[in-house]
Amino acid sequence: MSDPGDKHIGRRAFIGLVIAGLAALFLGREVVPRLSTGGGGSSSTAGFRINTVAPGAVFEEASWRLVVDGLVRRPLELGFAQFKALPRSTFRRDFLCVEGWGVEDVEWTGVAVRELLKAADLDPRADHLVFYSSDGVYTDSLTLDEALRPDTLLAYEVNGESLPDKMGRPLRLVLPGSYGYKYVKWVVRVEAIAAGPEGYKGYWEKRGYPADATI
Amino acid sequence: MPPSDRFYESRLLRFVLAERLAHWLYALFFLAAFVSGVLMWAPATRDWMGGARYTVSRYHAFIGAAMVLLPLLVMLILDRRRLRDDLREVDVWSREDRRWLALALRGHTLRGKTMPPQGRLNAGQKVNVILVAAMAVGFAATGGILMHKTGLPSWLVSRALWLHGFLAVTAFALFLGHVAHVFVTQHGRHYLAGMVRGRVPEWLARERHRRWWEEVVREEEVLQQKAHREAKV
Repeated sequence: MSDPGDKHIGRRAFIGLVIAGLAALFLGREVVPRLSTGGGGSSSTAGFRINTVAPGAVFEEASWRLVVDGLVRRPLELGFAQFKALPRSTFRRDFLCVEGWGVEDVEWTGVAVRELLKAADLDPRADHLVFYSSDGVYTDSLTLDEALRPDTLLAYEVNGESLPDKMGRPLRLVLPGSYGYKYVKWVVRVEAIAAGPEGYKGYWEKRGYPADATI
Repeated sequence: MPPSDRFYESRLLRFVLAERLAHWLYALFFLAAFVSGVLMWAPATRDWMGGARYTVSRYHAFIGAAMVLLPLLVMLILDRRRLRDDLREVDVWSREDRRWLALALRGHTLRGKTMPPQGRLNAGQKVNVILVAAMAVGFAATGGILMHKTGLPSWLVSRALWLHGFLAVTAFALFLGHVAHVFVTQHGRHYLAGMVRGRVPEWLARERHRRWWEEVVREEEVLQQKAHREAKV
């Protein structure tokens, strides 16, 4: 039974709310990053939650070395200036963590891992690269396919500034399209291995995370 | 004439089995989705959950899908007609509904003032249904994007994540308000009993949902008159 004073408010309110949600999804680009990043941190760390399992070594340029070894024909031990002399790449990519948070449009600058492998002359038997953190605890690996992508970097800058200490200064692995646990901080060693189909289990993989962290 | 003892004992069917089942399924899966979401999101869980956190993130997607789909399926399978009636009831707002909401927003319900007569669902309950339904669509859309994010633009995935979290916090605030209403307000326990066993006291229906009570009484009178006529024949 309908009354002259009745109005179809329910459906309008429902449709209005759904449209507002869609608008937030598609048009909220300028608003959302500001909300998600809060206001804290420097411009380079804004939006990043700092998750570490152990603190990395404090960076001292004079003593710092990056070792590339394992199945390579030309093992390397590079100082920071030597590393930075390798071809430089810059990419803007979104960063996503398994915890559900993310940071949009992060600018990473560093050396593509494939440039490093070219310099070290990778042995064809190698099928994985293991990245070691200076914290002595954290490791993770990439398949060769992942490592050879042009945007897989060992980054030393984020958003135009040197990596802050807590984000892995001086080098952090960057693997766009994968969750953040692949982004090893304070990288000091890259080892090429032949792990076969079993692969290599890094810190989180040993605790149940999949080796393939593709988003 | 004062109401008889029978009036105070009498109970009216407010929610049929399908509605109660849909309500409790949604509540159960919402809580499970919220808890699993917090476990995935909170940094404090990282150390003590270890790899289990990844497993939780996998189950979270299925729990979320069940939260949205199961109540709808229950209504569609068990009582499609009632679903249609419910949708119509939530859609159509009388003058009294609009006035009730305007007064409630000014705090009249909290101060125990006399409110305009309401149907089976008062305007506040209708707002709750609309919000829950819209948020279910939001959870389904953003959850769908997050489940199938490979190949989607990263800005869309990132924004879906943010909106999903925003909806979760809003829905949890609504849930807390809902629970507080049950346990803090004067007649909350009767409303809870109505959602558990389906029936509410007739005096409550007359006091708080007078338009619905009048409809039920009128229907009963019509049925009684019909039975009376048939008995005569």
